[in-house]
Amino acid sequence: MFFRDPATRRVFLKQVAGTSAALALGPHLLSMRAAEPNTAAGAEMVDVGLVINGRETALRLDPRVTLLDALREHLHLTGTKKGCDHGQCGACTVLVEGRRINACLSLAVMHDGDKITTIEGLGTPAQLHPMQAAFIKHDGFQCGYCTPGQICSAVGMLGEIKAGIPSHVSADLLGEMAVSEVEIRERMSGNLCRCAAYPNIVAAVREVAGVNPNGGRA
Amino acid sequence: MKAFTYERAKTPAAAAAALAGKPGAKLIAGGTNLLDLMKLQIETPAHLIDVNRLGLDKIEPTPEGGLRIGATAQQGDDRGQSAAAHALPLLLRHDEAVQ
Repeated sequence: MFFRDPATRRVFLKQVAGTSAALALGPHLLSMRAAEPNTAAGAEMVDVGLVINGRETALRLDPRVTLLDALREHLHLTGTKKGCDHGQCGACTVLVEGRRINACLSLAVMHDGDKITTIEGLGTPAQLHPMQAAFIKHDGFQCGYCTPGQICSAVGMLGEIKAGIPSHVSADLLGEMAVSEVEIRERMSGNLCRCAAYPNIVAAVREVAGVNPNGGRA
Repeated sequence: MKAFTYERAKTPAAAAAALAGKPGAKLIAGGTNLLDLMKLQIETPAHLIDVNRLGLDKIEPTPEGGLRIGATAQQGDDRGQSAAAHALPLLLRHDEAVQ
């Protein structure tokens, strides 16, 4: 917007100030907006109960609301990040019933009764999850935007290895899975890091998995 | 994303009836492809039928030595993983490649 005429700019500023005052006078309106930020007029709402980080949460949602938007916009759990919103970057990774998923490509209403763990539920600043502590120790991030997704994904991924689920690079489909660098890089390939902190992310994951640099158990 | 109505089907018959009876209806299981296309408005279903709770998520060995894989079974499903692995190890590799 351009303000070549100073009078136009003053009028604009007055309008903005007026709008702010109106919003300040209408806390009821504000709270309604906070509860239902993405609701189109006439949308058919659906009840959904989610167990998020151990707490039962009842929501009434437009069915279009993704699990990611339910967490961030409706429950204000903003630790889970929106990167591409198309399932390509992994920033929105959360654990659903212990399995890692991209929260942006799943509707919240599809998870009625599901147990969901976000980065906020893995640990707290006072009591970090071992994976969170390892990311700090090994500098597994720079800007930090992908980090909650990386950490949730890493926790889910170690669970998959423990369950004996092979990856595309596993040499043996039935034996014990090694937590080698190549396995970690393959299994974490759905989580992009534009800062390229990959070597340190791998180091953090290896420490939590309890492996030495040669890939064997420490 | 265009607005749509949503229902959770309880039985395969109910899901099939809903799909046949509602114009523009689509089934949704995981959502990885469909939701991505809906965000781009390439797909604009009027109605979504959630088929995740139909009990079709089991992987079971059959008497002939084969495997019966439910339509909504997921790779890494603990309930079926070991049976699948021991019956047909290459299936695991195939799943990984498909994923």
